[in-house]
Amino acid sequence: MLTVSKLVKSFAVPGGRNTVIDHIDFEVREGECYALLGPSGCGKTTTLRCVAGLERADSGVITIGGEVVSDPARDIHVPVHQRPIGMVFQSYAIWPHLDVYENVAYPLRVQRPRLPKAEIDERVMSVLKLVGMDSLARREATRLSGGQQQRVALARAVVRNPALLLLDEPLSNLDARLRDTMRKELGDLIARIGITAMFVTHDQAEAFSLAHRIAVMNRGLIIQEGTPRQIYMRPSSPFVAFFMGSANVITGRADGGTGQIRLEGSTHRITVNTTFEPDETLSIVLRPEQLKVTRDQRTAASNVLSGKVDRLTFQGGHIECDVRLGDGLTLRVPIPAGLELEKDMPVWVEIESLDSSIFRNDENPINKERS
Amino acid sequence: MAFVATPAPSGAGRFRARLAKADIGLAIIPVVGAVAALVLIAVPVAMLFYAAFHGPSDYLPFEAGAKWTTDNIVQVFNDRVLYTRILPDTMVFVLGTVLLTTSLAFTFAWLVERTDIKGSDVWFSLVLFPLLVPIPVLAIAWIFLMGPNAGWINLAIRGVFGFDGPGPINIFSMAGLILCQSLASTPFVFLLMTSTLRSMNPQLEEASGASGASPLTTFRRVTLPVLIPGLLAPVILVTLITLEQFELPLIIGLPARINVFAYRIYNELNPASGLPNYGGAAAISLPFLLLGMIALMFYNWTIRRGDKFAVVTGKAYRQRHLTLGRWRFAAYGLLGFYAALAVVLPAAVLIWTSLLGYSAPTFANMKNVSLAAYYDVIGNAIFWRALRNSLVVAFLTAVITTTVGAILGWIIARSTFWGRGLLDFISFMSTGIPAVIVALAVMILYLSFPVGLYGTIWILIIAKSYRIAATTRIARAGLLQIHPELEEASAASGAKWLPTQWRIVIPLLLPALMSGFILIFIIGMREFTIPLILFSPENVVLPVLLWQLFQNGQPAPSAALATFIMLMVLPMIFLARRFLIPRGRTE
Repeated sequence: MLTVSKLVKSFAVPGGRNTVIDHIDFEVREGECYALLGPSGCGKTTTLRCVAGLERADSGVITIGGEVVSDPARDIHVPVHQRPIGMVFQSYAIWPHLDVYENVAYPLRVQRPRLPKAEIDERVMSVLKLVGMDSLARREATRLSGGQQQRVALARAVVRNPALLLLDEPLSNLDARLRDTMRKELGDLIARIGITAMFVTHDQAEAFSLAHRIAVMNRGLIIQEGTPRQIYMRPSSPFVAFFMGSANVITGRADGGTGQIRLEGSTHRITVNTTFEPDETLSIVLRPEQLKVTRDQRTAASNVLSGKVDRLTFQGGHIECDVRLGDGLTLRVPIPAGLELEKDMPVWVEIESLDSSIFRNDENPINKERS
Repeated sequence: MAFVATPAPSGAGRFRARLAKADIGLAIIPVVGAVAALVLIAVPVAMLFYAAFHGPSDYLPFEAGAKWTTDNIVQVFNDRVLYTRILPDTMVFVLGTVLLTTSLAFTFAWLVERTDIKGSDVWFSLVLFPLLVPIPVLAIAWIFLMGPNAGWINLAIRGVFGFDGPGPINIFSMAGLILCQSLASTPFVFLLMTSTLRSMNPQLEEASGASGASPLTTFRRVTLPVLIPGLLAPVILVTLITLEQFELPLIIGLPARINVFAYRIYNELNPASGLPNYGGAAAISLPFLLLGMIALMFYNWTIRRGDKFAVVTGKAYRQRHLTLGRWRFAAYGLLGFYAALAVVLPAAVLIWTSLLGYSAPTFANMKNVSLAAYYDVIGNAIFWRALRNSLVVAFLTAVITTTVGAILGWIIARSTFWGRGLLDFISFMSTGIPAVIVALAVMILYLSFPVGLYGTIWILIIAKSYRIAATTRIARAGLLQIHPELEEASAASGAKWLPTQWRIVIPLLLPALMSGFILIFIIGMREFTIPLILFSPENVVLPVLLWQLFQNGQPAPSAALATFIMLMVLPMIFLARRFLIPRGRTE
């Protein structure tokens, strides 16, 4: 549906050019919902704007539905209004001089040849019904709440049945509670319309719940692409793991050819099945569900580290437990709310399945299983 | 000390509670504000009404022998000249100027803010220049350039096409007056329009593009409708300003026998023969005062509509820049034409005339260069008096309006004083009062009550300080930006009301006050109308001195003085760019 290959985009800055997208490739399949996920400044919004035609790429080819819409090498740049897209903007960009109905009708009204009035009316009302705004059709745009604005923006983006729906941080303008509801609703709507969609976000929860596939971006590059599960379970680098949230990323040093790793900031060692160069620096990513806190030492497991409870943060369904393993090393582990621990209590942390958790310092995973 | 349980006060209640406890100073503030607003605005206006209904017309309203009468009104409104000359001339002048000014200003604002035009910062400064120069300076330069007989531009056209003189351009005509007034008014409207353009969320336009609308459709169906409230406000304001214009109608309009209302009032006070007609002047200003008020209401209504659209959020967006392509030649041409007529040629002709006398710009004439005119000017004690007066009056006017504006702004934004709505109204009304009318009102007031102010610089300061609308608005906007919790946090840290204002509020408000001060100072330096009407040898200021030199047929010294004023103004461009126009244009 959408293909992007070797896309490059840079902006002029004092004293040179700043490359924000550096030769990225990806493909969004028909009917798929695809997310570009990354921290601010990683190039994800610029990528989306290049696809929309709001920015001119420096080089690379973009096709939508098989048609080349951007290829600077061949001097092709289809302007935004001639691309088969619908777009939801970060600020929603609801036009203040038009009411809800007219905002949604706009893409149909500017279509040439002109559409019959009855058809416009029918399509506007049916899409407004779809987003649950049909009763507010004549509401002034300036009197809409954030959630309502988002629905209008979505209705406007899909009313002319575009081939591709683009969403720029679609939920970031909403407050936290509303964001959760709207996230589910947005997912339902996109699925019900059955439209191919690509969106940009910095919130991994948003990407996980909405997208079929995710591309994690950093510094103008796609550093990992895959399903939410693949990215979460098999991050390709400590950066991805860290960006997925909740993971502990710690540093260790290989202890000769023994498969033992010394953990920095403590006297602990862990054992893995791989051998490393002596003194090689390693990053170890530990996801919460790899860790278990117990009050007794279990002998069965191979990697069990002793520590002390440093801090307990009650979170409702569970407790965040910080376990101090040494002077400079603390692990954060979620524990069941029923487990009664107190500060300074001695505990043991059991680490399971370390195989895909260890990264050399060039950020490549040791056990490379490409997803 | 016992804690007394009180119902949790909220918002206004909290302030009232604090007001009760606070020092006397706090209670005095509304009184000071009210008195200042009354003395500066309400009293002169009331005096104007009083004078309009008192006669005989050459008597001051409180003079012995003056009594209530409708003679002035009857006489003014029975005068055919009002309907055959003054109203039509005023209307043509205002409409023509507003149309031309708006077209120029919008085009320039659009070019500078929304296109990829090169050197937008330079163009920005160039367009701003006429805003800072006193209008008599420009007027004299334009007469040197477009005078029918020996104007440089006419000489050039005749030379190129082989016409015989005079003409073909005659500045002393309605078209000439409108052209000059538009050149002079464009920067102000330009300034307001650039900020409107900058405050539009570019995603509104991008959303239109993403909906399948072409750039032209987007401009027509989204950009213009969204911007219109923000663009209409400056247009109404310039209508109001043109209505009160006096400088150019006097300097250019009078020789052309154009009779607009502002000049008419001046004429009643300085008739060719006979005594000043105070009552008649007051009577004729009433309908125009009303017109000003109506325009002001309309302005207020537009602003509110704009607020509702929330496009003017005070937040500046990074705008998309349209590629001009072939159109850039037309763009540079138009901007160049304006810069030539409003900046470069006036400066050139003034410098030339100051050094060489009023002569054609030829190499043969250049051998007569002399600094005599400059020695003439600086050797004259009146010049130094005028310079000192100009600076002192502009400075003190700025101090007074900024202080009064800050006090009124505080009352309106923060206090629960019962009369705050009225004070807001009075302050806002000052925008709609033409300078000629204020000068007239102040004149009648201080002639009637001889407290020793008439003829001094103090009467200029009092008369000019009526323009408190701008500083009130600036101070109020500044205060609204300062969250009340910042003050409450100071109180919660144990600071009393006064230390809180002194250490927290005033430092935070200072940038806003500073920009208001500079704005008023610049306006004060330019002001010509009020100092001319209230002129005495003692309170002469630079623009008035300039006009007198010019009137007396001394082109070289007046050009030298004009050049001096221009040089003085140059650093103000940087002041203005620095403080009044925060333009973080990111490329």
